[in-house]
Amino acid sequence: MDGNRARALLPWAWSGLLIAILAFLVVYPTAMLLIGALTTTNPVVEGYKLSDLSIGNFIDVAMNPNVASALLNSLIACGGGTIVAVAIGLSFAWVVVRTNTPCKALIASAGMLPLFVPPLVAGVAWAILGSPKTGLLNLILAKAGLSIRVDMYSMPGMIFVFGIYYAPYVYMFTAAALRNMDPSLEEAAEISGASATRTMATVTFPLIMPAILSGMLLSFIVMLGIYGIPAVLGSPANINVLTTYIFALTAWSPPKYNTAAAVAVILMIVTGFLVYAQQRIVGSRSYTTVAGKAFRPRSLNLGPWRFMTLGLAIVYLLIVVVLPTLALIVAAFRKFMFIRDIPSIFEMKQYGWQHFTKMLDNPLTVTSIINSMKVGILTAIVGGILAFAIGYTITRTKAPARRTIDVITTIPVAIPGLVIGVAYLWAWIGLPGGIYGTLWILALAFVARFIPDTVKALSTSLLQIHRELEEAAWICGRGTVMTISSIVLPLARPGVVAAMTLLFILSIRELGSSLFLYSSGTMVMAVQLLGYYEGGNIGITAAFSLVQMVLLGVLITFTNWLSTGASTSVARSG
Amino acid sequence: MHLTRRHALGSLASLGLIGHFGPARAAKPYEPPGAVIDAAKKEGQMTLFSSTFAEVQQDVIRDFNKRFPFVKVNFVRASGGQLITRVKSEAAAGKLEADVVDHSDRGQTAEIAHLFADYTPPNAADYMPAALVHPKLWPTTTPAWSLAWNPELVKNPPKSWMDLTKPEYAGQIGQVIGPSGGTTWSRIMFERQVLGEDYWTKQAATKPKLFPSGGPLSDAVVRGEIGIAPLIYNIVFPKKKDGAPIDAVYPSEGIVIVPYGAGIAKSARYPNAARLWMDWVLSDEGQLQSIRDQGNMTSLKNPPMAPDMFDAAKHKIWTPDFGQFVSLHDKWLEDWNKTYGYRQ
Repeated sequence: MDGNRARALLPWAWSGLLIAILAFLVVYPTAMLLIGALTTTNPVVEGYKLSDLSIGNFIDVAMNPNVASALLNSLIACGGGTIVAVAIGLSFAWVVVRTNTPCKALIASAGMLPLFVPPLVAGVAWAILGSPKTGLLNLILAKAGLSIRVDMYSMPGMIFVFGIYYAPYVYMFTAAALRNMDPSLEEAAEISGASATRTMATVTFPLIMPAILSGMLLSFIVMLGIYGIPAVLGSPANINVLTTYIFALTAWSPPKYNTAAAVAVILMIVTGFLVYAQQRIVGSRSYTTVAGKAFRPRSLNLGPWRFMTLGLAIVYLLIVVVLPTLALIVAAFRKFMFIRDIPSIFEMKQYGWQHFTKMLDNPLTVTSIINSMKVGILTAIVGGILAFAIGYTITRTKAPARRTIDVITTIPVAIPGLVIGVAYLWAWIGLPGGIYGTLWILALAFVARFIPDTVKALSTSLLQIHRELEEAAWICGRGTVMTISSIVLPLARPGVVAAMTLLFILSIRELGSSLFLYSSGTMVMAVQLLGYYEGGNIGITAAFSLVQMVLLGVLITFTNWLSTGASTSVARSG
Repeated sequence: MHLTRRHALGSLASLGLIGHFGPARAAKPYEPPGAVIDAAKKEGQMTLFSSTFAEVQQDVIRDFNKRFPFVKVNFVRASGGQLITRVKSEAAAGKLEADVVDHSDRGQTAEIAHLFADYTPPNAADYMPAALVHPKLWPTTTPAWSLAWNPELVKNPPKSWMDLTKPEYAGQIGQVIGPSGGTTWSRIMFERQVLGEDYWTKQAATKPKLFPSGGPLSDAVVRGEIGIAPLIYNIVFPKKKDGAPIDAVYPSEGIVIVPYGAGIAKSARYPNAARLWMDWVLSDEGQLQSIRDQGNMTSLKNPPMAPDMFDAAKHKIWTPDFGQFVSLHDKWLEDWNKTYGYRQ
């Protein structure tokens, strides 16, 4: 009897534990943010009383036409960027996973490269390429005698850069789903006489709709929170988006964090609505595609058309990877980025290692690299474990309060990094013990900030595992823990590795929360990079970006290898 | 109304604080008392919070460590508003990591003067009173605004602030946004108080491109994306020294200087190392380094060397009245945003 009661209480205890962790990581800082938005004081410094609370900040923000303008610009830039990202990411995923296009592995690896590029650097690279007066592309157009010019300091410029740099998010989600999809469903459609195109439109894409929607939503929301690209490309054209607006508020003398918090709360409401809509769509249908039957990912024979897909992939890679990387290489090795004409690009006396030497001469450079790696690993491990626990609880159990857990988990997605950073500072600085000023506080902030992304990435994989596999294990007498470790985890391993990789990358690039939580001994790469950029040294900024890209590239190659190994073993063992 | 040089200087005298440097003199070597050295040596480290560009600050730290290798300087850099928020929050929680806080906006630093310890440098009497806003805060750094241009593109560069209103420069000018911080605020105060109420309108008519801060703007000048820009000279100086296509001049109507406000935290864990740092940075030796290696001015009455490009016979320096620096801030920035079409 006691054993039964204990067993009955266990799900409650489990849910309680998850809620307690999320309360610390998410609810408490969000509450501090709300208090900040409802007062005109710094809650840590001046404290707050109930009588101080007012909606004055919201009224100010609502009455300010510039906020509406920034919001509209954000929606246009990120909406347009998302459309571009989905078109590119989904096409790429299909080409790589489901066709016999040559050099697929190379295309897949190169297609992920934009993910390693910090947004600030992406903006700088495209400013070098497409600034209206001295952009390298414009020099080429002028040399060719053409009168048309590229202008990246514009809304279309921002949409383009957002789209190409966030396509890998869509790719990661959709490629994993396509890889895990049982091809028998498509085969059945084709046996029934459906053409390849119709099969794709009526079977393949609808089945991976959760992944498409998750990728779309994630890329849209991540774009909403990006500062670097609109700061570099939008500001010279006086196009303010919410992040540049918020950044200006935080940099104001004195800073207007309370107003920034109010803007962030409005953004939270918009994003919350989007997340709700996405969950309604995903939640209303069954998308189980991994069942207990063995399968091998299906490859469509494109015949001679495979060279066309290869050609398109090469053009894409040229635009997205080669051109900006070349621009960064030129900037990193060239003494100064004043380029009069095309021949002067090739004056070798202009090139050298001076920016790398100067960069390495700064002791904080190496410190920041080591710290970022440590924080990235800590975040990936702690966040991976927590995300798996939450994702499993939400998608595969009937644990009490799992809806609440799901909702709390989603909250940070809606808060821009620049604002949540100060909320973490307000919330956690008073914690007893020595966590403030250590790498752990950064790791916890990153786990909290990116828990929605990680859980969504994992849930996509978990949703695809058929329940019958776990039921079979239970029938064979395995307990929950053993079932998870022997069935669910191996099957979801590509998703787990992808989610942890995503977490690592996001934490390495995260600027907003780092700005307020790093201390003298815990400088991280994102802050160091901003320092170089704000110092006006494009050469060192580019050199440091290349170092960061190489480091992340090595790591991604390693995890990709892990993930591929996992997929192979799952396919075989099925 | 046409603004003559005489008119401008008259305005300078009435609305801001105008001054001349005394003649440059040989720098006195800094020799700290043995007790300060011993105490700092015992502490072995200190933490500096600064709003100065990281690279520039690292150079200062390097020079300090050449003299005093036994003090490790830990360093946190943040932009103005973010630095103040961090200092206030850490102090309120009893966890202020900084031993020294060095900030470009004296107004904001003066507001938190209660967090600083009493401190007076050995050469306090050598400093210009106009550069001091509080007995605990000292101008470790004094940058100055210059007019910069890319000589590859601009063959007839501007020489005065008023030149920036000329139609011939339309479309070539870049500007840092007014609300970017105390440094820019000082300059735009000068523009309105000294150059005339209509200066912003005339200047904005040239359709300048707006940048969030001076670093990216200086880079845009070097790249040739922007031809001309008002820039703090200490960001132009290292690029010019390295041979980059950028040059600058101090404008004829007056040089806007921006004395920083730095002090030792009351809660400093390493107060002796902090004192050694402050004493050295504020000494002739430290200021000489700041002028010679960073391209800054100084707030010393008699500079230890003539600052680069500075001609005592023709240049006058200007710094805002501190009361107005605080009281005019919000209203005037709102006006600036409207005039320049900056959506704040």
